[in-house]
Amino acid sequence: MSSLGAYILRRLLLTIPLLFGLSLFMFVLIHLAPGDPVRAFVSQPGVDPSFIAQARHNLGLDQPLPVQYARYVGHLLRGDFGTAYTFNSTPVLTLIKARVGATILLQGVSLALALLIAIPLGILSATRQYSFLDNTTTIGSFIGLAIPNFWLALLLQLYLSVKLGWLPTISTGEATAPLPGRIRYFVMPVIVLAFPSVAYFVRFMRSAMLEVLRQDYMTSARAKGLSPRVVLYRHGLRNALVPMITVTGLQLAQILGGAVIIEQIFAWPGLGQLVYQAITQRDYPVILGVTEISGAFVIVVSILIDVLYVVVDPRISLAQQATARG
Amino acid sequence: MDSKRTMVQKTSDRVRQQALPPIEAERSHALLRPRRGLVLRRFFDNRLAVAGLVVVVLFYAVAVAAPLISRDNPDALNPGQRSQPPSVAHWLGTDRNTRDEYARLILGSRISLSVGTTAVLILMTCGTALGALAGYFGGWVDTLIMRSTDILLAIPQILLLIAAAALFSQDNSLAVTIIVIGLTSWPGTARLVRGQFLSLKDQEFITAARTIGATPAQIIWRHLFPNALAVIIVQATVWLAYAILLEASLSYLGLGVQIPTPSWGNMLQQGQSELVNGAWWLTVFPGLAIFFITLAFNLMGDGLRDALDPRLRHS
Repeated sequence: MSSLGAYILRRLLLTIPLLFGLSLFMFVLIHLAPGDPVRAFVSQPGVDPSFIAQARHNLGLDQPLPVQYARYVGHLLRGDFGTAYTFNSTPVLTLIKARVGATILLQGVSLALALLIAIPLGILSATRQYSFLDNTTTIGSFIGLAIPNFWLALLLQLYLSVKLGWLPTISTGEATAPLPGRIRYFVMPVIVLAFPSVAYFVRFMRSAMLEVLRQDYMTSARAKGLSPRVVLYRHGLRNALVPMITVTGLQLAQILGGAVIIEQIFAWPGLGQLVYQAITQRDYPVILGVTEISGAFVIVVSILIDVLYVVVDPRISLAQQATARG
Repeated sequence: MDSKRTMVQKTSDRVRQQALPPIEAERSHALLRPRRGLVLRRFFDNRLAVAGLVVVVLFYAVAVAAPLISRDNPDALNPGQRSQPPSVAHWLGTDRNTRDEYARLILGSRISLSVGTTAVLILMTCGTALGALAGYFGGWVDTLIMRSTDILLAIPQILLLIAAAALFSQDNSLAVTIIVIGLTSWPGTARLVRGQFLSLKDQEFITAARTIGATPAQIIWRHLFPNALAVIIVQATVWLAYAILLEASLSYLGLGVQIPTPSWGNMLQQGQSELVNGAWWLTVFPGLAIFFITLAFNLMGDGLRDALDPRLRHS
């Protein structure tokens, strides 16, 4: 097996203890917290205490914590994420499968749009340093990074929906509408998600491009008599894009975090909304299931970044990657 | 990048040592970092950074002087004046409970800034201490701390924050909000400080300190920490912006600072329901406050980074 294959395999094996650690951490966090899930979904006062006790027994909440955790992990190893306490007692995996598509679609569109805007803008900014465009981009990116995304969402709702009536406030009916009609529901959430990402990406793209423009190989490419376009795109851009891999990966890792608030505001039926509901209802299996799956996703993304780095830039060795990670 | 940086520092140190009186030269290994005067001059040459500093100082001044300038009691009701637009009597209008929005915004700055600042103190202390231990001692200490950061970093921070805040929300929401933000935010800082310590600890001045019998505590505190301080300060500035944003997000969701205590986040949550009636002032002003303080801290942090290390300059 190639060294790259061995490296990937080793990293994948290392994710197993990590995912165990993650589940243990979330499990302890959830059970350390005061309060009781049964109390959260049986909220009426005057319910027979024996009914509560029975419900706790049925959910296995009367067992000692180590037993509960061992049981949870036992099920997890067989690919069983358990059944939700609320949500009509649907299996957690079914719930996640039903919601994950909406989140991937929304976040994928936003991320792709952000990259499509930020990369050309970063290049232009770097090649025309201190021009009007460059200064505007710098100021715009500071604004994009400082604007609270939920506030931006509220302002857009106020202006585009309430005032102008151009767009629907929230996404009710998103799942059933035919595609052309569905685009209307995407506009505001995509703007809200893409704006800070563009701001974040463009700064890295600009500084990466500036760094590359200063390199000796750019001068020698120009000295060889290559046209400025070829020098910029064939020699410059390809090198400047390497650090963007990391930045995009870091952004990918935070996707579900951003989704929680934005999906709540726009009533987007995705994973973020699911996990938020689960948290407020203390639906332990759903919280654990979603964090476990999102954790696996984050870890796989970080492996992918490291591998891509080595593939794209032969100057970086796997050994370097390993020591850099610590 | 690190090796280049230390080369520059070494060179500047050598130059300095020759000019310094002998006693100064003796402890100069703890002063490897760039000259303070030079850093300050570079910072104050950066107009955006200075603007950020001015805004930050202004916000903290408002928070300190809040009761003097709030004009009105933030909890006082003005019967019959629900969600009134800005006027001479109520500069920023009134909220849906007829309270003066300006007074709440001014008093809210105390809450939002102190929650953010305290949370950053907690996270920087935890992050620096754990990063220092991991970087200096290595071995199983390093493994334990780094694997913990791996686990925490595998969960998107906002998700972890919301979960912890919702599960632990109690009457004492202020303390819970601070602790939750502080304790979920340290991993990034720990990694950064560890990296700094790793690159510093093999340098000659550390070997020298060890040779003359300095204890690990002395080496960490007297020799390594001062040299990592620049990076730590920049990190803290950036986190101040982010912590204030996190508090606002949590309080907006109703999971952070609880009403009637005003914070910019929960004011936004309250104002949101009045948006449909066109009461834009209840959404616009608290949001602007969050926006400006975040922007100011970011500009300041950027300016500090450039001033401390011109090699990392973006422009």
